[in-house]
Amino acid sequence: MISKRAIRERKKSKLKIKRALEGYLFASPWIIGFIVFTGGPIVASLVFSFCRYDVVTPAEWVGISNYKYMLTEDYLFWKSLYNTGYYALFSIPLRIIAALVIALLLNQKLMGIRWFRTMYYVPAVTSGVAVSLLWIWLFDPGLGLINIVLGKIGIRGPLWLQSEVWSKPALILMSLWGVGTIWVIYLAGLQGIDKQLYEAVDIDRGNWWQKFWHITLPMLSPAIFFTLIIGIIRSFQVFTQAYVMTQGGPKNSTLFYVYYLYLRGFRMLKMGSASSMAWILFILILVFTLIQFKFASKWVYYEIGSKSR
Amino acid sequence: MASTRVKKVRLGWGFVLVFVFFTAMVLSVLGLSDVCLSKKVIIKCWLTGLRPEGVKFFTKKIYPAFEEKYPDIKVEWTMLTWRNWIEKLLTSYAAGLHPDISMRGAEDICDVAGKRMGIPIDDYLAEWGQKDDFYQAVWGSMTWQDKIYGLPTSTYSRCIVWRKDIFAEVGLDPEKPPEFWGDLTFMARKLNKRDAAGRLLRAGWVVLGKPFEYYKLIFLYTWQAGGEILSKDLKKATFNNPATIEALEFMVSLYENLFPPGMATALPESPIPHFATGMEPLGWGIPTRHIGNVLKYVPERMKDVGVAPPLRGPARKEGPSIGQVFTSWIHLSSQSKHPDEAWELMKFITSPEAEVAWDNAIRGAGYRICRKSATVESEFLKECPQAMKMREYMKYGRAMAIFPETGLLRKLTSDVIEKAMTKEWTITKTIDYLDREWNKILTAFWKE
Repeated sequence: MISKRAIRERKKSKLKIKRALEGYLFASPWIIGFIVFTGGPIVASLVFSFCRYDVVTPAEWVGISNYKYMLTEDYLFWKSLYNTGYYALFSIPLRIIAALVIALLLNQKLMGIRWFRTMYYVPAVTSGVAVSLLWIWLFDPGLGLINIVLGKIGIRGPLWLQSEVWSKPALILMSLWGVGTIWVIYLAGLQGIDKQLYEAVDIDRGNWWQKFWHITLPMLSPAIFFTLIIGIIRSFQVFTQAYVMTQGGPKNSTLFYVYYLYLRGFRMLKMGSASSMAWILFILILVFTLIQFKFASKWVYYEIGSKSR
Repeated sequence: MASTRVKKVRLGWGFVLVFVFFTAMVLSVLGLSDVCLSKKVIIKCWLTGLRPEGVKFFTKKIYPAFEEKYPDIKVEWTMLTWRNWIEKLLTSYAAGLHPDISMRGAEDICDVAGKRMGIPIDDYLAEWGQKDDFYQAVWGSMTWQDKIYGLPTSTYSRCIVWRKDIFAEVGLDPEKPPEFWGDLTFMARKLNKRDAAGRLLRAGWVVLGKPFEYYKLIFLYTWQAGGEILSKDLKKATFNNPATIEALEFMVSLYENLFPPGMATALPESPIPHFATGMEPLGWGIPTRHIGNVLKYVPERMKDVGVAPPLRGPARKEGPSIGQVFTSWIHLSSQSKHPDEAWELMKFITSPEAEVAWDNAIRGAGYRICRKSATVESEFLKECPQAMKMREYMKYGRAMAIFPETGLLRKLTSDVIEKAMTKEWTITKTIDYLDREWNKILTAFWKE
């Protein structure tokens, strides 16, 4: 004989199952979309990375040949990795610093500050292609605004995108124009800092630097940490500038990793090795991210339950 | 709170809506909506790189005229750019949705034929009987292992084009274009102009500042020097031959003369193309750039535009000029379910009447006529003697070299030649490297 309690329990679990099914049913469009358009291609690219695959003929299993080739024989792989590393190494800290300075400036209670905030944010929402075309003109060695301004102050501007030495610095400089998405996060963080902390510094007769170093930076460190992680991920995926502005030149100085991946996959019809490049990139970014998380506790301050500086 | 019955009804309707939504998505992707609604044969035609005048001509004239002639066929057209066409064609093929007809560039035959994206049309051509009306040089771009895979739609031969007014300005004889390599070096140096800061104000031979052109130039100059790089069966490359070494030495020397280290290698951006402004007064004869743009922006300068046969090579060389021919062409997809109907459209597009009408419609704004009969009939060519000369110089043309692993070898060759041009590598090292890598890649390709 089944007890009343057992019957009630059975009814409850049936109801739970039914409710769960209803939930999954309504989430199914997203789940199916994820599997078809994201998850499936991810798994497929992993398989293709172990195949010789040119998109138009069936893939042929070749084991780790693609990884071996990219890591030991392809000179452009290491060149592209170096270019991307260079770009990331300089653009990430510069973007963070620039965004922090802008956020501090825009955190003032001044008349018209909202207009300034809008103006400084607009570049971040402008199409990457349009921005690239604009900067091609700005970087023109002869007629570009940058060299004209430099000329007015007695400096002979470099060849920028036509120079092997200056092409990457040019793109790093260009990346500073689009820091809107970063400073908006910092601005929100700044506005969340308790004013009493600054008042405490005033009471102790601290100066602006002490306020910045001991209050602003620690309180903003979670936001900085977040933008650092996102910055690493985005910098390693730089593509549009090379595609639109330089096509990897001059002399492969702006042949970035993802651009080279695209060339291998779609221009050289080596989708297998392009897939292996994608997975190598994934592992690299994962490693850098894990390193950041490991060291985060040393400098990131969370108000609740973490070590402070 | 809604009752259980109401919730069930809502759930049921929700499920129906989701089902309908997905079904509609799937049907539209598969194109079944077209099949269901229409009994016509649908031919998908993707053309690439047409300028606005060409797009208008096709969409307003060619396709409607074809559909009028063949009421049971409907043309679904898409216009691509040379920027994004390869990704779209590849992914469409991988998805089994390759268009019946697609346009290809001068070096794509290996992908089309070697990877079986297209089908040979020799039987169709034989039945049509109009092959000989096309310029002989165009067929090289669509022939693979003695089979023809497409019909040419636009072509040009790179002859010499120059601005007589700029020649006179720098003290050169305006009626005497370069004939041999030495002439080119001399004239390009005189035409090159920089400001005090070394910025390029006028480029004597601008193509030399474009690394992606280098793999084309090494082939062309080798031919002009009387040599060959590739074997006829495309299985072996020999860069280490006197003609290619001489060609590379010429390119390096010319580069050294025109682009000293640390100096700009490209002209400033300009809203008006450089040949029209005179900033690029000497160049290859690309119809759009040298005729179409002058007609569009500075028509009064057409009298100063000269057209001459391609270079003859080193001064010691006795023999005709050799120019490279670049041809865009259309091919039948191996996935086409209606090849006969698609072939009708291909013939229609490349008919003499369509060629003439197209040429008259775009008036120099694009590469053009592939047929000898259309050359004679075109009103535009009769009005523009320079454009007519470009057609005449097709007789000096030789199709741009085709080779397997095109994307890979193109990049490798241009990169390495750029190292030679900038003196990062010696000529010997460059030639040895090209020999070794090309043959490694060709061997691997043919082995597969």
